[in-house]
Amino acid sequence: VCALLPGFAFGHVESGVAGDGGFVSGLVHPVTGLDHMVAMVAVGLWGAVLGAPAIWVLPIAFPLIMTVGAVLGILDVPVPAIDPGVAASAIVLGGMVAANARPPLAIAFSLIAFFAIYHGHPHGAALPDFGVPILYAAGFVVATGLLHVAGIAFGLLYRWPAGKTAVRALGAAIAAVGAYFLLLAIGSGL
Amino acid sequence: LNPASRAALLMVVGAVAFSPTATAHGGADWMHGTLDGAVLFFTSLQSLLPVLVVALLARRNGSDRVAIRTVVLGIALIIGLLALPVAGDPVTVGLYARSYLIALALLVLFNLRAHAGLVLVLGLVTGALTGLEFKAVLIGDPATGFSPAVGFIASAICFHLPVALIASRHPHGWQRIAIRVVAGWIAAIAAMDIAFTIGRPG
Repeated sequence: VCALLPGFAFGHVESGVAGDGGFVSGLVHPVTGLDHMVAMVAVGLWGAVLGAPAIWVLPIAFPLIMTVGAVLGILDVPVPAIDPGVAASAIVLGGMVAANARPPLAIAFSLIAFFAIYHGHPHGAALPDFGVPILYAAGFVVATGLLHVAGIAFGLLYRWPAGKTAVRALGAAIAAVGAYFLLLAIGSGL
Repeated sequence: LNPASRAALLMVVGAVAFSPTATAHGGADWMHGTLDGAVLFFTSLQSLLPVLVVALLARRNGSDRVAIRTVVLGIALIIGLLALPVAGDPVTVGLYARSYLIALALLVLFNLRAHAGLVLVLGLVTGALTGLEFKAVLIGDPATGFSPAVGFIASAICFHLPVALIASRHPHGWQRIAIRVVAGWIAAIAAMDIAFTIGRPG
């Protein structure tokens, strides 16, 4: 039976789905840049630390406002220091988790919104080569959401003492990754 | 696995393994057309997402009129596919449809209760816009006639009815949140689609 099944893969035309700029391209895109990826995980992680309603408000807000950043990029509206901004998002969001910071939801939302612009702008400024825009967008949003969910899943350990240490350690690691990318950005002259 | 589960699993694997033999049989064009239309609905996010969101509106509007809303959606799809003239090229219609989808998704995201009459109108507009967007694809091939449109509408109805019924059954807290998260992501997908479509060179 196992020998029979692989043949079915040839029955599917890849148009609009796989490597030609469709769903899979969008799905893969957010995980190809470590600085972007850790910041998105940090959003979910911080949401889990903050608890309801931040645990679901932040993962909704981030992709929505990231779209605003993409639109700004498409319209060529300049946003200063994109790469340092993305790196700073990992530092700040990871630092918030590491420091066990619990600001009011409005402040957490504002921080997320600010950094989401930085994450969305490059995608609008340098439009990817996609075949079907809505499939690419769906893959991109789902991947972003799944990174948030991964952060939330890990963040749920926060309710146990050892888990709290692990979550804060992960936050510190994310901040360290952000610091590395910030140094890289500064080294390359922004 | 108990014997019944093993038997069911074997049947499924067997059916999957030998299903390509179905291609040995030529079918009538109308039959292929109907199946193509039915599959197209589920494989196109441009059709699946608006119907999903309009079904999720039932979450705040109860199950009383779900059947009526489904019928209205079906009629609106017929109107969009057959009655309305194409207003501009499909890309422009798609941009309007996606803008409307954002508004619908935000309605679900912010958990707003709409008047029952308004929900009917929203279903009508959703069906008409979706029908308009797929008019060029589904109507016009003399070999298949209207059969792709029949399959497409049947899929929309078969999808809308159960989703709306499930959403209207006052789900648990986490399910309500999941509905709002999905709506938020759909709004983001629609907004990003508009941005990419406008920004794409050519």
